[in-house]
Amino acid sequence: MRTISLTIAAVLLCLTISGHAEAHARLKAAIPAVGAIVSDAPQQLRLTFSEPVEAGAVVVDVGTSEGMPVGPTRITADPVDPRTIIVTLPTPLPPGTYTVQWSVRSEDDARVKGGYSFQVSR
Amino acid sequence: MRRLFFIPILAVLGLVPPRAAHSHAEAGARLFPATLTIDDPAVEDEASLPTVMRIRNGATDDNPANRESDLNFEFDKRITERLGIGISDGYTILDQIGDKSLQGWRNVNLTLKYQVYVNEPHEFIASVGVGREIGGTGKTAIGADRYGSTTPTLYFGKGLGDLPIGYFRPFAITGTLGYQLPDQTNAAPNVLNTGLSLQYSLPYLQEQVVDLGLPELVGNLVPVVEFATKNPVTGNGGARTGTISPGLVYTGDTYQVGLEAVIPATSASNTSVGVIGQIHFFLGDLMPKTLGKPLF
Repeated sequence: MRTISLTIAAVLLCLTISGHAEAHARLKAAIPAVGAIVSDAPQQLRLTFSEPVEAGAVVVDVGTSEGMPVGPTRITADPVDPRTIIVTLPTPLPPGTYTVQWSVRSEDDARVKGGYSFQVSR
Repeated sequence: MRRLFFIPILAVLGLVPPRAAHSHAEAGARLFPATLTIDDPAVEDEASLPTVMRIRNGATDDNPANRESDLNFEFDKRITERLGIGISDGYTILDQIGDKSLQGWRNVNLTLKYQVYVNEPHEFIASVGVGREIGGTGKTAIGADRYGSTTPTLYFGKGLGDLPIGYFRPFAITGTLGYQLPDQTNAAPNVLNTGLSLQYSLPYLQEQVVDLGLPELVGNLVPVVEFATKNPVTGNGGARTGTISPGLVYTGDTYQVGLEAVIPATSASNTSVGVIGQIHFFLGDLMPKTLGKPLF
């Protein structure tokens, strides 16, 4: 049991001296939500991640279900919530199904990516 | 004292300059959680500290029935982006029915794994590896063999997120196929080891399919069922043994916690339902500048 304790202690020590944890960002919420059907045509998308992200480290591609790109025109950080980025589109989206492909580059240059769709109803 | 080799290994690897980190077993948008009774297909920086299992074994010609408790440790480290090594060991306590208890360390196991192919759009990973059980490093009284074995193994993982199947997209399958070759062929048979897991990722459902607004505790769960078998294929190696292990894995950002039932799949396996639990750390998230990055 002494050996087990020493081993666990060594691991904990390595965890302690290595610095703070930096979990890679995952998408936690979106507006319009993942898979949602909305009636109001959005001109902005809001993506909230599990960790604070910089707007320059995020790439978001919005397209129609036929694969035609829609935008975005601008990606900015939410001034209130550092975990949220705002995607401003060129025009309010007309009715249809849209796909959002996102990727986030973390501090260690790893890139996490994902995608989802939502619908704008008539 | 020989188990203290864990400590200098961790210390040395922590001081090696890092490269880009990679925290989870990923293929595109798919994260494959670590499974408890079979190995996952990816090469990562991770540690299972610990894996705890309790099962009941029936009597054999040589040994009485017993309740077995295992405490296992595993540490996996990437050498390059796709090549990794792993080391695992465990401590076993056998509470023999009608006889004295036995306890001791099992043989040390080393694994070398290479991630051969990743297809991100199709959420597919394939890896090859070889495991080496170092004979004589454990206590024979609890079943550790004096001789070792070598097990070349194939691994794969496939998520179904690339298919137009709606709520079934969060499903994923992982599998392993290994052929165990003992050092002493006259003392033990060759064994075909198989493993399969079927997973349904609620995080994937929420992120990629539809946001149901699940509370975080539920939305981070991955229901899973694992199948593991050992099939002697040469000599008189005994009957096939296997387990079916349904359970849940909670996936956090830097760790995961798993709990599964261990159900005997054959009459030669454990005699009643056991339990296995694990705490698993993603070193790429916990220590991205040290242990969480490849060495080269």
